[in-house]
Amino acid sequence: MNQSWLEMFGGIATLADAARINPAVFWARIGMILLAFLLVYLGKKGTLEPLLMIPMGLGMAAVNAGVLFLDPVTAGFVNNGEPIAEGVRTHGTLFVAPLVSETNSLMNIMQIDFLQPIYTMMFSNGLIACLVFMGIGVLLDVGFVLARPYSSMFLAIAGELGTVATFPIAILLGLAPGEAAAISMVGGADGPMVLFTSLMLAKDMFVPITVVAYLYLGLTYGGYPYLIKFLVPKKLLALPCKPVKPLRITSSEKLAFAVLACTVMCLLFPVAAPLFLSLFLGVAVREAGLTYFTNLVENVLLYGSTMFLGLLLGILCEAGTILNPKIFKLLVLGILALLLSGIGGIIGGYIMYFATGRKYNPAVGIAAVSCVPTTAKVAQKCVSAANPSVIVLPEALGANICGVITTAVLTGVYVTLLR
Amino acid sequence: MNWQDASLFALKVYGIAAVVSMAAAAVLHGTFKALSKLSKE
Repeated sequence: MNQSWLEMFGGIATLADAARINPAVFWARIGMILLAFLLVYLGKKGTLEPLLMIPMGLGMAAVNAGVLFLDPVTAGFVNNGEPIAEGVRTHGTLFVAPLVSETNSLMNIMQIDFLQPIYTMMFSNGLIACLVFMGIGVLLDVGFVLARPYSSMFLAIAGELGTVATFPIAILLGLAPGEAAAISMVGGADGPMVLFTSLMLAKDMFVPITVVAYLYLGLTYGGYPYLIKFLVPKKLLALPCKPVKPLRITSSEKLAFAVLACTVMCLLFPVAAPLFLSLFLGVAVREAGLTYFTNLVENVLLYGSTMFLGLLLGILCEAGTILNPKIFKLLVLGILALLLSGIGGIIGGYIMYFATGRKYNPAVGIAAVSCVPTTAKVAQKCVSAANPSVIVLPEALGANICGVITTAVLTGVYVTLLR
Repeated sequence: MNWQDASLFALKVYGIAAVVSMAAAAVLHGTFKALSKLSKE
């Protein structure tokens, strides 16, 4: 009688079952639910990116609470043609089965798991990354880059330090080259790139890598100001940048750049062509003045994709994800990649400071870590705190946009060389 | 792949990315200059 009452409330029954059979899963589920509450709280407070953290936190809480007893096929466990013993039950949810690949099982699960169609048709094939990238393209004004192309690109290259320096460390920690490249891409601070690289190079690990990446990307807004304060003295933070000659850049010139850059990048790195096309399509739509398309991409595709991206990332944060033995390494490597990229960007800022005869604010370098437009805002916020009359946002946005391009290039190089 | 090979590989990746990115900046600058000249003429 007691058992049937308990089984009526499946989430509690599976929790009690986990406590008895596998206490690690029990504690992981409890921990993930508490973490989910924290993410929603920090998102609402503005410490972390609310657009991602609210759906992600809610999804994470739901997936760890809503576990029920299922037969293995319904839960997404493929039996590889072997008969499954009658009466065998396992713990599972009705959200998604991330690693299901066998056609029959996939078709079965598509009809059961409510988010499986979105996951399979948009997430696991990288479409959602491309849609988000299209939205980023619409937000980019390449005019900031056109005004100072070489200095912006130089900073962007410096801001990729973590993306390359983390790779050998990841190999040293025992990761496979594809996994090492995917986690190193966290240093580029571009979620869609990490998703795309891990799908291409480390398909089995793409769930934990992408989750770690997005958890950390939310930290750039909160963490980078401390890095700037630590590395840039207040006197230099208050320094204005040497003004550049104002340019009158027409939308036709920006459109020509988008078309040319997209073609050249696709020629060089066809494996990352979907990303390049998506990014520059966004830029082209904006500069061509296609208002209906711009509104569609910016208001519907970007925000719609971001919401489902956050929700699916939350849903993928099942207790099993954090019990993966590689998760601790990924957590360490992810934060290291972001830290090294931030340091690299500021080193680039210092090089610019000396190269321009001390007429460049080194804090602009942090914007080279391409979390558009978060890191550019961080640079301006820190500079404004030291000297409210100094505006570095145009320089910061130039480096920021170039950061997106260099991260896409690095994705292309890694995928081309390691695939 | 050991960590020494990985370091060399990472340097190679960085080198290629730096060259391609600076080339992209040159393409950008060149396009802008050429188009500005054309529109003035």
